Amino acid sequence: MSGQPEATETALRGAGTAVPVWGDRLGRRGRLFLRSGENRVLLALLAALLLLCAVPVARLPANPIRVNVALRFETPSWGTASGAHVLGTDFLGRDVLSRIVYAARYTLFISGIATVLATASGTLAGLLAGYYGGGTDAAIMRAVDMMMAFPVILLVLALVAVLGPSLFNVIFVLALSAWAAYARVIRSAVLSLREMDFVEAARAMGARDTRILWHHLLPGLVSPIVVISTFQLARFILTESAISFLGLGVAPPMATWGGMIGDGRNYLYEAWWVTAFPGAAIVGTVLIFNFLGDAMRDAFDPFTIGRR
Amino acid sequence: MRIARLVTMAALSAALAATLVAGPGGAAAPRRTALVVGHHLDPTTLSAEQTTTAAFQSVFAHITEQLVIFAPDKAEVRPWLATGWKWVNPTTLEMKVRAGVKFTNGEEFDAEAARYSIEVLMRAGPYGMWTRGALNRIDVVDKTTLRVHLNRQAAYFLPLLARGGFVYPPRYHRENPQRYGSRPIGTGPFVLREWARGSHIVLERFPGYWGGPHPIERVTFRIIPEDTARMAALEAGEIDIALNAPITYYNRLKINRDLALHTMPGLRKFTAFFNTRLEGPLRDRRVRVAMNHAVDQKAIANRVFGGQAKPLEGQWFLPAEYGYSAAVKAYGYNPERARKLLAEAGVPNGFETALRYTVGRYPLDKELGEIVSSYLEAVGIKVRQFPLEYGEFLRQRTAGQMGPIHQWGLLVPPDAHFSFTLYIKGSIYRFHDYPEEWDRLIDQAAQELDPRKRLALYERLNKMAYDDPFGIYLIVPNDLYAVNRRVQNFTPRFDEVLWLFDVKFQ
Repeated sequence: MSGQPEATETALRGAGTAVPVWGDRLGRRGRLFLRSGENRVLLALLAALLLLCAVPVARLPANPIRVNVALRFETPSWGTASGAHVLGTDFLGRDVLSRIVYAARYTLFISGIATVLATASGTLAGLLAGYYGGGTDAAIMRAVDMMMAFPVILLVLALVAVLGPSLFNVIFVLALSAWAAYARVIRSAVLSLREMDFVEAARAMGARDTRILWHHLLPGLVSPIVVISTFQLARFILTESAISFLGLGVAPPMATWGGMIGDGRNYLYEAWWVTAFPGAAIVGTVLIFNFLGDAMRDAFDPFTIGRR
Repeated sequence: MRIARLVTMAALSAALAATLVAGPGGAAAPRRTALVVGHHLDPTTLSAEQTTTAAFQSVFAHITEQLVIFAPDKAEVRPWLATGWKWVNPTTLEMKVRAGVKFTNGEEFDAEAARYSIEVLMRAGPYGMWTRGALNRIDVVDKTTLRVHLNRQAAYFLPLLARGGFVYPPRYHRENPQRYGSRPIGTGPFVLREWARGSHIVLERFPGYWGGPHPIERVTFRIIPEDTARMAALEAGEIDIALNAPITYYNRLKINRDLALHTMPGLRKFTAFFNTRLEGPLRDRRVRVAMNHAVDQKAIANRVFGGQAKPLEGQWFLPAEYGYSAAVKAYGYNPERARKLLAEAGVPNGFETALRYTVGRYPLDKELGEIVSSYLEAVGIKVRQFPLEYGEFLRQRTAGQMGPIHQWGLLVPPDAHFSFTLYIKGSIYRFHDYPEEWDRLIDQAAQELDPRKRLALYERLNKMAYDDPFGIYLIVPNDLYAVNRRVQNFTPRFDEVLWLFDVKFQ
């Protein structure tokens, strides 16, 4: 059973048509991706960011959660000789640098897991709706319409308020707020993909629906998925910031960048560094993901690859 | 044609110039008689008998007046609609009321109205824990004299009147029990003109006020719950007075020449209340004492609040309050002693507990929760934090889901009676049960008319609360009022009630 379609695919590839197939030439595309110096820098930055998240709490310059009111609002010591608190301390005397590093893991964990959940559920919904059409399509798309009718931030706030602020509720709510956007884009991509010859050919050879969905349609969706995911991840970081800013984010002693900004906003006049540095961390991270998304789409999209 | 156009141009320029010159003056002129107050909470009711919330009283205090009032800065009771009083015997109070006062609906205020109003107070639900069934009956002697007969001696009776003794027009109040909360009528210098829920409340001057018409024609309360937005409105000159200004804005507002800042020693006592009805180490007295040793109230007051707060040290009273006992010493910040006490109580490695606290309701409430948690963690007590939005906090509180420790601030009149009766048997504020003696002493103090003997009873209670604490006694922040300099004679009050009676424009 499995031999036949493979043969066809090889034949089609021989004919010079870009056919989306898993595992095929990933290496080549990867090399293409890495050929760009820009992309290597972006990957290095991402690796550094992830490494930062792995730094054990004990190895941070200072304990990020221990309050010491005597050290309140130490100014950033960069450039000065002391070097005690490079980015200063916050209103409870906690080292801002240590807190930024400490908060990175929660911020990225929340937005990362939420992105995975939203991508998985949204893609599945979009695939099913686009491929089967009819009643399935109608049911899924009406659900999507309902989700899209809510302003995202309002929906998120209402849900967090009802469920209570906790790490997993925040992740769940973020994912819930975003799956519909995936579903809609993926569905429209599937609608055009399923009419293409290679899908027709696979079907003619007796490939089952699951095989067509998984081996023929999904690889063709890499482009929209990667693009939405990277932008979505960046957006999750910002939405999480908004939730934390409004005091509905994760509970202390857990910390996120958005929460740090929210806590520091009352002191902008006295201590700009409490808000400025986590703000810079958010901006930097969001930029890394957005650039990466762009670059990955260029490299891995089976439909653009031939044109390069 | 050209000349006509020139003339038009000239006229237009002149008009424009005139507008520019007159603009600021023209805009400011009508505000001279209209005051705008930025309020942080939308009242749920404007009926005094239905609430003890000071923020609501800030509105209705100008509509419904009281028989007696507290001095702005101390527990002294002063005459208002009641001009004088004397105790005929320990359980009988004779009271004289002001003659020639009319309610704004035309009803007359007299001893009969005063009798009716005191009776309303004594059966009002929210005041139940303070009134304690003291009233026997009230006789109206003549148009301006009444005699209040109590069941037993009640030293707190006059302070109670100063807290909640508002005067209602008997006919209107009796006929409109439901409507009164949204259409209050009183003897005050203002009448309620408009109330758009969640948006604004407009009061208009009552020309026939017994004290003479107020210099301000109209007072608008704009409901701006968000601190940042309220402060921005103040800085932009949209509001003249901001209630509940966050203490964190002090430095920023201080440099604004248009604003005058008034700080006032507050009476909102921030406390992390223990629930000892739940199983766990908190049941052990030593654990609770240890937790009081573990928190550095002085550092919180001086560093985090920048000196704009006073520490509650070893008792629930500040030295300026009636009820403070000099004999009860501070616990003192002593983590070593805390650890030792925990070890004695059989939890040398600490234990796990949970702390619920409000976020954004009081100045620095979230910070306070984090600080207390951190101090407890430092002596080995693991704290799960639940920062809660105020509505959710109240909901969980009402539903009995507060868990082992909850932290907020309670505002009480500066007489120990009002503090201790919060923790009497049956009170919704009681989460730690004391032996019989506790309630007996509170009742005994309530009936003791000699202030010194009464204070001695409170000292015994304070000692009990020291050895067997019902909470981690934290701090009392100062209240901050930010007022535009156009507004004159603004006097802040310790009870957080806005008092506009003397206010006028420059």
